Amino acid sequence: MTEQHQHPHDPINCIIPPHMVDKIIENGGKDQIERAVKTLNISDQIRSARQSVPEAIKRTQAVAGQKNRLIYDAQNGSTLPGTLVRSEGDPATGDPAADEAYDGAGATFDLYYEIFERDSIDNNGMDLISIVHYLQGYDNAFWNGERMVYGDGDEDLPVSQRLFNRFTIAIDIIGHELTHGVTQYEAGLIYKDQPGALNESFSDVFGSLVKQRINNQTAAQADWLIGAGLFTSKVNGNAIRSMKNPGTAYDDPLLGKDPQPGHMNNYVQTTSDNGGVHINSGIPNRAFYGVARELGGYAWEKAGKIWYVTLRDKLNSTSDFHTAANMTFEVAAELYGKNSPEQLAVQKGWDEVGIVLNLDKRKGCGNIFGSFLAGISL
Amino acid sequence: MVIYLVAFWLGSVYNILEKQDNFNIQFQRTGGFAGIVTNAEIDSKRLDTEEIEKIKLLISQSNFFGFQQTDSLSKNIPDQFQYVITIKQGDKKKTIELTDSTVPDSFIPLINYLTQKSRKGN
Repeated sequence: MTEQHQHPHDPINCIIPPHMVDKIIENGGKDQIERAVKTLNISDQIRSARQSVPEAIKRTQAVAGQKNRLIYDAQNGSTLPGTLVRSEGDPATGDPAADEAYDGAGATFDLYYEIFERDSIDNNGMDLISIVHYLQGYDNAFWNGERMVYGDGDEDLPVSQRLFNRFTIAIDIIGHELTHGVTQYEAGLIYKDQPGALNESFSDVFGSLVKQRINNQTAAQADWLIGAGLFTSKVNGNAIRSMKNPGTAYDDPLLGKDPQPGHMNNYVQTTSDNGGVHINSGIPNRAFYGVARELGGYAWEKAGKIWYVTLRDKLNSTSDFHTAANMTFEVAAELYGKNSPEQLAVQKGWDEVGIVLNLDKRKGCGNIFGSFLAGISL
Repeated sequence: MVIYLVAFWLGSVYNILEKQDNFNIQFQRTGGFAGIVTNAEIDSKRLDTEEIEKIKLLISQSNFFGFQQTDSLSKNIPDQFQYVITIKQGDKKKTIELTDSTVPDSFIPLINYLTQKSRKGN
């Protein structure tokens, strides 16, 4: 169990003001950043706990492998959590947003539990709390450190002007948001620059795997689109992102063109969006697609397993693309053997996006086979 | 002569008041699950009186010029929106940065309005 699981009572965590933590993340050294991120994660959890779900509704004791979904309706307001509309085992409500949030959280839980043997977000049976109908005209979904929050799109506009549908409409969005929680409890990737883009990419990867598993699709059959169905027919686009072909998901007069690169040659240097976390995630997204394509079959079985173990055991808060690449290569050797087809597929996937593995630059933790692999030159 | 001076004085006062009432708003929203950047610029000179009064009320209700920026954006919350709002009104000019986790309730109507304008490409 990591320190984050235990929420240690560190007096420093209680004194550093949030703006200072933000500055440390922006300007500090690696150790400072890791400590600041730990502080921020805990602070955010404390902040969100102020609007806590009534304890009587939550389970008093988690049962391994038994999911507990709680769906709340914010009724287009900002007060969280809102009204409880569906608990675990309840019949469908008839409200598409509430029922999609319920089903999507269930499918995501099942992927993590049945394939990766992970018991919910924190690997300790954490309740899956979703809030739907958040605000008016809120065209977004986010993970707030404790719960998943979904808006209804731009339903406040006349039908003829709407660009977005409700954000529960695509199951991979639900898997994406829930995976932000998993990342928070594991690698704790800071939400900035390459670690932030990796954070986004892991959410896209597992969000896509939730969709592929529900649809019983192989890597070859999957569309590898993120957020398909989210745009209304007014938008010229299929989805928000394409893992297979980053930069091709939409090209619309109002929204502009999908800005994602699929190769390091086109990496976007920007200060916007925390250093382009939703832009440069296209690069590791495409690397994962390449690995899954090479391995064939169901992507969650091998490629997904490699990515999951890497997120769980190998990365830390400041890991960059090269570190992630090297660690997936190392995990592939641990799981399937040195020079196995799986390990070679990982190498090829990263090579296709312009990331050449360099084992000397590894920054991950828990390198069981580190010394063994250190001599491998690619 | 007296009439001319009074008219000139009234005209000057009117111009001063009008300038104090004029406003320009620049709005940018970044982040979010989609990561799509939206912008809006609103200038009172291009609006009718009803719209001007509506926006002035939104600015007033948010207490924009009295709001104390804490510099705490909690940027580590995934997929939340980040907002940058600059308002120039009369002699005053101020920029405020907010995220979904730091938006005060009093700002929500103003941000909703600006978001709608940015969606329409205004």
